[in-house]
Amino acid sequence: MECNIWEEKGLLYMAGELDENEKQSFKVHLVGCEICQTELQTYSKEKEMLFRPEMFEDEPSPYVDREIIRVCSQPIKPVLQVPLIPAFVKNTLFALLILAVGFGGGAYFAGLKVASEIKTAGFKTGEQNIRAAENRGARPLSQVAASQKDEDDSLADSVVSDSAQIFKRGNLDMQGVVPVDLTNE
Amino acid sequence: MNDKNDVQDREEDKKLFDLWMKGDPRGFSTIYEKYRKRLFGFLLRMTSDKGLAEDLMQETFFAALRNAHQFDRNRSILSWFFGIAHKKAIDYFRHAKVEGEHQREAEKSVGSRMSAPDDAADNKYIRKLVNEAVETLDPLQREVFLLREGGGVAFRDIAVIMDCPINTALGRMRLALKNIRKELEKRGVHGV
Repeated sequence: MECNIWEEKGLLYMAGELDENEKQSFKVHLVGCEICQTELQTYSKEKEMLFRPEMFEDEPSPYVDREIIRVCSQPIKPVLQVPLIPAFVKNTLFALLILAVGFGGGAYFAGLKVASEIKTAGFKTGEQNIRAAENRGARPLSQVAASQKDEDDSLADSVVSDSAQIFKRGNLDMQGVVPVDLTNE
Repeated sequence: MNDKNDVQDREEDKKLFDLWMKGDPRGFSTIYEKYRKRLFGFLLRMTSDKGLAEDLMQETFFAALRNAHQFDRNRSILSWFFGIAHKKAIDYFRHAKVEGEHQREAEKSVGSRMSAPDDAADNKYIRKLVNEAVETLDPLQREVFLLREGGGVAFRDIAVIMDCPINTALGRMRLALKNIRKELEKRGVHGV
């Protein structure tokens, strides 16, 4: 014979897990239920004689105790917890950070490489090149500029003069005059 | 019924836990001394292997240390430790897929392993008989029984630890008691 109330309430009653109302209700039931009375008596005796906690206790080896106490007695360092940020957001941020560090690092080292190549190739600025050329005996830039201007002016004069001659000959051709080479006359 | 003792115990545990968190080594060592035998007894009976039980014992406390900052002080420390120990044992069996093997080995060694541990016990013979009877239980019934009787863990916490409704835990406990009585009768222990 079994009573469902024993399973539902009796074990919890013995474990001290019923609230005050439930406890009183079970006590009332107990008065009229022989099955629950027998179960309660038997289980109480078993707990007292057979199921004492020390029946199920054992000693670990001393070195296990020592190791656990050594490790666990150290001061605890609190770990930063951000429970409101979901794991995937954290992972995404972490991945982006890694990418940024990767690209940033790559760009930095690439810049260093170019700079070192320029240095080893002896690259000089425009001004340095001009001075180097002048040292090798080249005309100074101001003289070059002045002579260039003279050349440009004379070229422009000759172009104007040639144009005037061509225009003049063209007009004579139209009036039926045979062009004569006057330069030899 | 030890309601008052339980409340006192919890208050004392809270203070020790706070000491532990503040870095006072007495906090942890006192808690450890209080529960080490119960936890080790539980792990030994779950695994039937002293070396493995010792490994899991260390893992249990190291995990507790790692997660201590997340522990809700209003919970029972005892239940917390037993919850971690139970998880470690179950994880081990799941990972190694040796549950059946271990159980078969345990069945073969009934009477040899459980009778060995505590030579200093006055009631060595009764202890041997009871542990032999516990060994014959279905694993789920044995877990509930050991958590409750060996660990003193509350049924509502057992339900959480074993991830089952409280009525399932109570049903397993009732069957465990019934089967232990049968086994004890077979061994000549009648009408306690």
